[in-house]
Amino acid sequence: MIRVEGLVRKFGSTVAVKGISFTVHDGEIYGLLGPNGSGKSTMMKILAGILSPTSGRVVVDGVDVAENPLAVKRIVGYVPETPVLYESLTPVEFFNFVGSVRRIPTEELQERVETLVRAFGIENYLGEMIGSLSFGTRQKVSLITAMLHDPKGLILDEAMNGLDPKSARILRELLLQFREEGRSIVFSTHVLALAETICDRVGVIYNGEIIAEGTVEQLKEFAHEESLEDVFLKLTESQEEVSNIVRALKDTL
Amino acid sequence: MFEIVRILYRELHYRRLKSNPQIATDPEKFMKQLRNAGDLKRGIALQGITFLFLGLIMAGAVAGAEDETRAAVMFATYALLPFIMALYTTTVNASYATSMGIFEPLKPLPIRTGSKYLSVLLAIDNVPAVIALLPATTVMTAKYGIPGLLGFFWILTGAFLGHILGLVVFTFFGSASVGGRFSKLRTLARTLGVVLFIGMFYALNYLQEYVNEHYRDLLPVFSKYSLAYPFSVASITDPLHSLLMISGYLAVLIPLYWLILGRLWGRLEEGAMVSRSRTVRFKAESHHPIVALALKDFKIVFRKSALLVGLIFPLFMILPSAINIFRIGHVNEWTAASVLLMISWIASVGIDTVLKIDGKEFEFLRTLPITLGQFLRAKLLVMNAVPVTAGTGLILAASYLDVRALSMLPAAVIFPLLTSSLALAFFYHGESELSVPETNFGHVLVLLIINGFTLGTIASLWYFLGYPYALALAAAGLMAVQTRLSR
Repeated sequence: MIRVEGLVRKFGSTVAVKGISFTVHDGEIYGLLGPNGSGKSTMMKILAGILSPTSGRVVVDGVDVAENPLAVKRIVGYVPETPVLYESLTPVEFFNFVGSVRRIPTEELQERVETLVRAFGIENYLGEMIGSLSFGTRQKVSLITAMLHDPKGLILDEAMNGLDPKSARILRELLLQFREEGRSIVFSTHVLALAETICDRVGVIYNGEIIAEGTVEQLKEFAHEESLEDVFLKLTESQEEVSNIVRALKDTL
Repeated sequence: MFEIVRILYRELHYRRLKSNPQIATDPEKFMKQLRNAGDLKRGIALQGITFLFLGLIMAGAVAGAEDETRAAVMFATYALLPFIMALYTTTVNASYATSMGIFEPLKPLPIRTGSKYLSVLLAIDNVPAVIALLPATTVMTAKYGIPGLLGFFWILTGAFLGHILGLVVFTFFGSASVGGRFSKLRTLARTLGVVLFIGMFYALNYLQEYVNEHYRDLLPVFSKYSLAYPFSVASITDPLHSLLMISGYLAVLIPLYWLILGRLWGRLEEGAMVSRSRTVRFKAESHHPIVALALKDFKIVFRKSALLVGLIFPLFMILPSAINIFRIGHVNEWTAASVLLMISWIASVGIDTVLKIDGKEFEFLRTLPITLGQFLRAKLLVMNAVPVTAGTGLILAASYLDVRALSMLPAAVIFPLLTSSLALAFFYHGESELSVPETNFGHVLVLLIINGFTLGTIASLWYFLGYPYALALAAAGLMAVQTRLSR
């Protein structure tokens, strides 16, 4: 459903994404792993139709992102790394605003909001201004917003950030349900244990390039490591660096 | 102190530019723009030069005045500029600067009143207005000596007064609250409070006129000088009296300033205040995307009174002329027309406020399937809410005096729509993506000139050929600009 071909994104002379290609099939959860500044969020924004590619092609459900970003925004739900929401609105007003802009029929909106609000347990915060909510609750509002229009695909950039264990479990179950329903999900996270249990395939992005891709088992085999964390550190050339830093910290502190 | 203000100034402009995708995604363009917009000294210098031209025109008028009293009265009228600009920029920009989150890094620092940085940051924007009056001050000083110098002190006092009032509005009326009992009533009361607060100078003036008319005994006290700014500036012809009045103003303003800074910092540290007295159930409501965008803006504006001031500000500028119509007791076509034209001229300035409503949350809008055309039309609705209501309200009220005034109703709607559409077309020229363009006083000044020319043409047609022709031209112009905005 999501096809990325030779994607390049430049910011002036800085190349954030260097010719990335991958495919996310219908009913698949694709994990995008990478250290900070590796180009994950840029990649996610392009998939969500917020940024246009410099070259290469991204097709979401048959729609070219560069040609029709609005259509892509209608198809996918996007959760940014940090929730950006209208802080002077209440969640009720915010959901109604998003529902109206996305032209969701009133009854459908009512039903979806009620279900999702109950699922994430934010019933008691619906009348408060978003600006006064905790980071975790705002993240829940952001997640609900991304799912309001029954999206065909989800682009989740560090979506587990700030969630309490219960909500994290609910999100996980929701994603698995979405997968069963045949939707495509691109999921970036630093919680490698989660990626290990939830992702069908994983792409490791480093310096704007995908340096390894496959199922978690395939990656372990490829890197000759026991856990995904070790695979990640090895592939991103961080294993030795981490050992040195830990040693230095022990000596200093 | 200066270093922190410089960093905050740069940070504010940095975040504004970042919210414009046309600039943010092009590092070279971004750095170039940031060099210009983010450099405090360069920013003031550029705006100062723009305003200096305006100042030269004003100085010319003062130079041509026949005697000292006339020059002083003229100078007092001009002294309204730094006051209004200080009040406007402080209230609107305070809300914008805080919503951009530039003060967040200061909060964990051991600072007693970090709000002084906000105050200085906002006061910087008032410098050009003070610069604009320097030529007139120089002329006054050269011609009459001490009164000119006193005039300069009055200008500084006026800018300070406007700045403090802006901070008061932001601090006391700016707190948003939703939910709870009587929340709508509270919103209404706060809105009325803001309107009355910034209207109090007019009220003082009218009170004085009332006293003049009815209490002849008090004339010696009230007739020569008004206590209310900017009328008080006319007192410069009596230096001792004027100096006493400045001292009186400062004796009140300086302690008030320090008091307000303390309260302001408290508010900034607290963040948004919310009442949590009831549980709310979700009730779905659907609107057309343009209406939903506009409703969202209105909700934010009513919860951030500083933005509300920006939106209703044009009202206060046309209030004296509007009241004049009803004082005369009959509707003169040209008097009503001039008020409508003035409302429309000032309406376009509302673009500065409406583009500041979204703040850093603008990034969220870009995740939604919204076209630039929908976004601009929603902004057009918000920009015109006050001018169109004021214009139609005025015409409807005037129709009680003369029913023929109703014929001007279409003009009350079309004229402000035309000027604000022109404003949007001006700022979004060449833009294809959702973005927030940079709006500074230089831009607003150019916009006022463009709209002044447009309205001048319409007024000429009205005068020489008649109202229907002027209306037809305005309607045609509106349609043409709307076609350009359909993106």
